Formats: sequence, structure tokens, C-alpha cells
Amino acid sequence: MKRILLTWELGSGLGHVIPLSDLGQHLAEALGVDVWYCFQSLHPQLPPKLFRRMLQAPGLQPASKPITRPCTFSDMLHNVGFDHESHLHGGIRAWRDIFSLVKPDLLIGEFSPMALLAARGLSMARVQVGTGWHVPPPGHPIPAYRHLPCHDPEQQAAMEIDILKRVNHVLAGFNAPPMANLGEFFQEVDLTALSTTPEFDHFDRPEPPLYLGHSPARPRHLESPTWPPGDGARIFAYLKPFAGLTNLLRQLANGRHRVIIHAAEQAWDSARHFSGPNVVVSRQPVAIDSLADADLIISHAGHGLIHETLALGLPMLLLPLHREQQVNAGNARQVGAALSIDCTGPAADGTNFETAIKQLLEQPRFRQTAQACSRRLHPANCPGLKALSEPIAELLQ
Amino acid sequence: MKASLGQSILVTWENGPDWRHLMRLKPIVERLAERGHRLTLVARDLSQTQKVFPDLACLQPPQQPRPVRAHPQAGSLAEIMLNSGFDNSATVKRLCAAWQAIGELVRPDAVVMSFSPVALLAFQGQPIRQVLIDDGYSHPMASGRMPSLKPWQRRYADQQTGIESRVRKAVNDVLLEAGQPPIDELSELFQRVDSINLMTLPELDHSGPKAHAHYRGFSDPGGAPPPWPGPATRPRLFVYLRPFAGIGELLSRIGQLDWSILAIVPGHDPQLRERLSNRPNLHLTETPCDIYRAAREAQLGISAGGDTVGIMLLGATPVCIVPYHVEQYLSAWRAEKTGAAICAGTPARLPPRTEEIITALNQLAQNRDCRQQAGAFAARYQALDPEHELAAVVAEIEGGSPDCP
Repeated sequence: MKRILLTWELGSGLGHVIPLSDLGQHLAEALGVDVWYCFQSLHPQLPPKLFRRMLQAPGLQPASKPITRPCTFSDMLHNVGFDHESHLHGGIRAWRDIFSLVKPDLLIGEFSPMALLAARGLSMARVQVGTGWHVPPPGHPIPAYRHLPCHDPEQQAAMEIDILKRVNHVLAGFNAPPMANLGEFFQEVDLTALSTTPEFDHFDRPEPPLYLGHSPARPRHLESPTWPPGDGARIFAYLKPFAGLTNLLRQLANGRHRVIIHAAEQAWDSARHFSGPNVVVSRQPVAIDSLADADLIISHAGHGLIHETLALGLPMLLLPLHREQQVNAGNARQVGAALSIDCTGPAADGTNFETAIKQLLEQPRFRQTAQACSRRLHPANCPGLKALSEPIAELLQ
Repeated sequence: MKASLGQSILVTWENGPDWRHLMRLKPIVERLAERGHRLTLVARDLSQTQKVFPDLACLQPPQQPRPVRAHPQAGSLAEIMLNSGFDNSATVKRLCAAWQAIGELVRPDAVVMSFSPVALLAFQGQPIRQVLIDDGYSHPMASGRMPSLKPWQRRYADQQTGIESRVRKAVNDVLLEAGQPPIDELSELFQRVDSINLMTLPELDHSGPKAHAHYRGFSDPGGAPPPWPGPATRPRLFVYLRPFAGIGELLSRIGQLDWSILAIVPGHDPQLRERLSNRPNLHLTETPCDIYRAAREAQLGISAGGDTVGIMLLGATPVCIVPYHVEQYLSAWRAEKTGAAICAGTPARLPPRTEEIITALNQLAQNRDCRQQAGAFAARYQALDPEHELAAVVAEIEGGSPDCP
């Protein structure tokens, strides 16, 4: 029986866990293959039977001198073990030990740079999946992310040459061929499939890859809360801790809108105090499908939630907290269905969120644009990860 | 019975600091590899383990997604287990399933576990020889409540009973699902193995002597003769410590003594050696030597606790113990009871201040009784042979009798 290993090394949350495990289960059923998983988190939302085929991914060595505000793909690589030969050697060796035990015929990597690098020179077929954030396009230096004006190409090129020297030196120790540029090991895979749409890719690419559309990552237990009574606009907000959280909660509680808030675990203590006649605060994840009658969604510009909001044809106020979310927010602005307020720093504390909320509710163009996107971006109308079974079957032959 | 060679052996280490577990496992693993067995290590600190075992496959043990530290200052093995995922059945079931996944790939004939409670639970009932390589910190008494790891502190019986019953419930949920009989007491889980090897001696066991275990003493890594500085007529002080904030000040102070001082401090700052270069009576090095011999040749020792304390006592050398953390303080607390060691500092502030260490060292130097007690300790274990014990442990793992030398 052919064997597939699915790996997930970096990033957090259900957006990685659920689609990848769904893909694994689908491939096991559709192709009759033996599927193994090597994830960085043994997430409680995964189906229990999967753990009998689950290995713990090796922890990547954090950089000795991390780049505190990473802006490029190579900054990210620097921060996850590519900064030092001993870190690279340890990471490659750890993955090679896993490969030698699992003996996969095919590797499917989701945000797994060290696993992909470790596979260089080995005979197994390779597929990379993920959103655009995880998969850089070709080029030296690796091209910049969309909507992130912070990078200096010369400095980045120099850093990539530096990293490349280290990588090639370490690869030689494993009898793997050297690379001509740092991004090469992402380009040499047999198949790249992105769980996104062209509008929400994080890079501009010279050649369009296989776009599968967003893969929903629904937790097992979802609530369908009831809107508070009244006649104000219906706003749903998914909130994490950030400098302006209390300020936003106060503005929502003091307004006339009817608000449902799903507070992430770390934001619960701050948010629960704002429960009131027009505000419901939930600790449990909320079924987005149940919010079709909402007027506005507020979120931190997570890739999945943006797609799910647009699938409902709703406008968005986006409050990005980190770089990836900044790119997502930039894409959503460009589409024309959202406004965004940068919340990556302490300045968010003094923000007037109400002005943006008013604009999004009163100007019909945001909702009209979202509705125009709705059908096209809806996961039901996209190929999805299951479309991979055919090309993967071919690779396994 | 003669054991078969070429077995698949899984070696696990889930909890506890790196050097102690790795150093204990090193001679065992190397001997097993020499004897032609296929070894797979699953170790908490992957990068250190890769360095110690450059030619063996090393994996990361299954970990909780968000570690719960309900008891950051754990005072019993049950509290450590609670922190390690035994706080609810679902978590520990996931972790056990992931351990069984490793078993599925490795197909071990034997699993050798060092402070690995989840692995211990995961492999229950499987036709795999199970061998523990532990000490009194990670292995409890045969029955009764889990011993306190902070015996100098008051414990509340109701609270301990509650914690143990939570952990026991999680354990029993896994056992019942695997068709195994449940346990009545948590300590019972640790008896359901083929061989229990404690890498210490009864007097130094953290939680007191245990009749149900094999005490194997301490491994002998061998090494070069100790490079004592200065004339051989001087009394000798053997220091074996890891770097800590006060190491420079401590070495400067003891360097003023008219002793020949050999200080092995792996990983120390090279500038420290330069600063101490004006002390010809003090040799500071990172390189370990034959520490059994150094212990025999020294008149006094300084150690942070653990195995080197035992080795110094086996060499009839009284020891001043400088614990860095509570586990070492507990081992020092036991060592003090032999009458051959003095512990510096208090558990409220570790590591101790230089002044406290110097005071303890002076007391030790002036106390003839300590020297006599160290001599008596060494005499009790005169027949203890690290090589013989290593062969015995290897035989337990292989499932046969030790080869006769």
C-alpha cells in the first residue's frame, strides 16, 4: 500500500489543522492509501482516530537573534531555524529521521519549510498546499508580499545569499544537491495547490498555480446565537486581545447596534464585562452560516473568515494584528468589500472604530461588492482540496 | 535465558532536565547499539539528544497543544502528571494514541522509559518488554500516596487525594479502553512493567528506599585521569557544576584557598577562565575526566546534586551540595541525611549565595564526622561495579541474563 505523509510545521489554528486532516481522510478513502500525519500541534479538534497515525512534528529552533517585525518570506525563514547551521542541521536531521521511519511515497507539506528542505534529494514525490502566505513565488530575492511596503530588496537579497550559503553547506552534509537560490526548494515540488482564490493570494505570481479556493475549517462544536432585541444594525465580531480591544468593546456597547461577539480565549476576560442589553458575548465559536442576516462582520482579517464573510455577501471591518492579516486586509480592501484599521501596534487604543462602522453600514457599495463576490468565492463553487485526489493518484503511480 | 540480538528498542524521555537523563541513558543506549540492536529515541530535547546520539533516529515525543501548568511548582509526581496532560481523559488519550503511532512504526521488542509517564500508560498491555530507567523523583513507592517532592513543606491530604484521583481517572479511562484492568492507586501504574531500574542508591533516593526496584548506582563514563593543578601535597577539592549566575564569584572565592582545585564546569563562559588564570591552584575546564577517580582522589567535593553527589560519596569524599532547583534540593536533602554531605541554601532561594556555599564548605572541611560517614558510605558499596550494573540493565532490556564478564 502506498503511503502519504502530511506535514504541518508552522502557523496556528484550525485553518491548518482541519483542512489538512480532511484532505488526509479523503485521500485514505478515495485512493486506499496509508496516510500518516506529522503536525506541530496535536489539536483537540482533530478526529480521535487520526492520532493513531499522528507524529509530533519536530520543534523548530527559534532564531538566536530573531527579526522582531518580519516583513518578507526570508525574514520568516530566518526566524524559524534558517539563521544558524546547527538549527538547520537539527531540523533536517529530525525530518529525515521521520521520513526514514514512515517511508512515505509522497509528502504533502502545509507551511512546512524544514520538511520540504529535508526532502530535497530524496526520491519521494512532493506536494505543497496552503494559502499563498506559505508558498513563495520564484525569484531572487523572493518577491515581496502584497500590501507590505516595508521591505528593502537589497537588504533582503543579501540576507537570502547568506541563508543560502548556510543551507547549501548543511545540505551537502546530507548528500543533497545545492540550490541556486533560496526559494528553489519551494519551486521543485511536483505540485503546488493553493487553498485560496487569486484575489486573496498573498503574492503576485508570474504563473498562476492551481487555486483550490478557501477550505473551510469548522470546529466541531459551533453555536448559533440569537441577535439581541432591538432595531439596530446586526454586527458580529470575532475578537482577540489587542491594544484597542477595550476601546472597541466600549464603542460597540455604547452604540445602538445589536452585537454578537465571539471572544477568543485570551480576550474572554476583557470581553465578558461588556455583555448587556445590546451585546451578547460568546466564548464558543459561532457558526458563520448562522449569521447570514448580519449587516457587518468585524474580524482580525483571518484568511478563512474573510472568505466565509464574502461567501455570505457581507461587508467587513478588518482589524489586522500581524503581517499576514495585513496582507489579507489589503486584498479585501482592494476587492472593495472592506475597510481596515491597522491594529498591529499600541496606537489602536485611541482609534475611533465607530466612524468606520458607520461608513460600512451606510455606504451600500461595500455590501454590493461583497454580494457580487459571494457566489464566486463560496467554497461550494471552488474545487477544494478534494480536487487533489486525481493529481495525487497520478503522482503515486 | 539468552536474549536475541538485533531487537528493535524504543528509548523514551518525556520529562526532566536534559543532561541527567541523557547522561544516564547514554551508556545504556551505546551498549545496546554495540550489541546490534536497532534503536529509536523519542526525547524531550531533540537537539541535545541529536548531539549526544549523532547516529541514531531521534523523534519528538507527543506534546499537549497548549501545556497546562496547573501546578507550576509541582510538589508530587501526580502534580507533574497533571501538568503533562493527565488533567483530563481526552488529552491523555490523544497523547497515548500518538505514542502508539510511534510504536506502530518502530515495532519495538522493548521500550526503555526514562521519566515517561504517558509512554508508560500508552504501552500498557502490549506485548513489548517495558523497562524503567528512573530515579526516586520520577518513580514512586510501590503503594500508598505519591510521595512529596518537597517534604520540607506542609501537604494537605485532601488536596493530594483530589489530585491523585483526577490523574487516576484519566489513567483508568485509557486502561479500560485498551481492555486493561484499572488501577486502584496511581503508584500501581509504575509497577506494571517488566523491570524497574533506579539509577541511584537507596540512601540517595529522592522519595526514600524502595524494595521493589533494582538500584543500579551511577554510570561510569570513564575518561582521562583528573588534571589536578599544583603540587600533589595539597588537599584536593573536586568541583563539578553547571554554570549559574554565581559561578564566577564562587570560583574566585574558593580559588583563594590553599587547595588544589579541579573545577569541571561544562558550558562555562571562556572569559571566566581568563579571569581565573591568576589562580595556578585552580584548573577550570569544560572537559569531563574520570570522575570516579577524581572523587577517590579528592578530600572534598562540590556538586549541584544528582549523580555526581553519589559518585563523590562512593569515592568516600564528603560533598558540599549547591542545588539550583527544587529537584536537586530534594536529592541534597536526602544526601545530608547520610551525614556525609552538607547542603547550602534553602529551597526558598536557589541557587544559594556564595556566602552560604562558603559557609557550608567550611563546615564540611572542619567536620570529621562527615568524612567518616562518607567513608562508611563508600565501604557499604565497595562491591558495586558500574560495569556489572550496566550489563544487568542491558540484560533486563534484552530480556535475558547478563553476559558474564
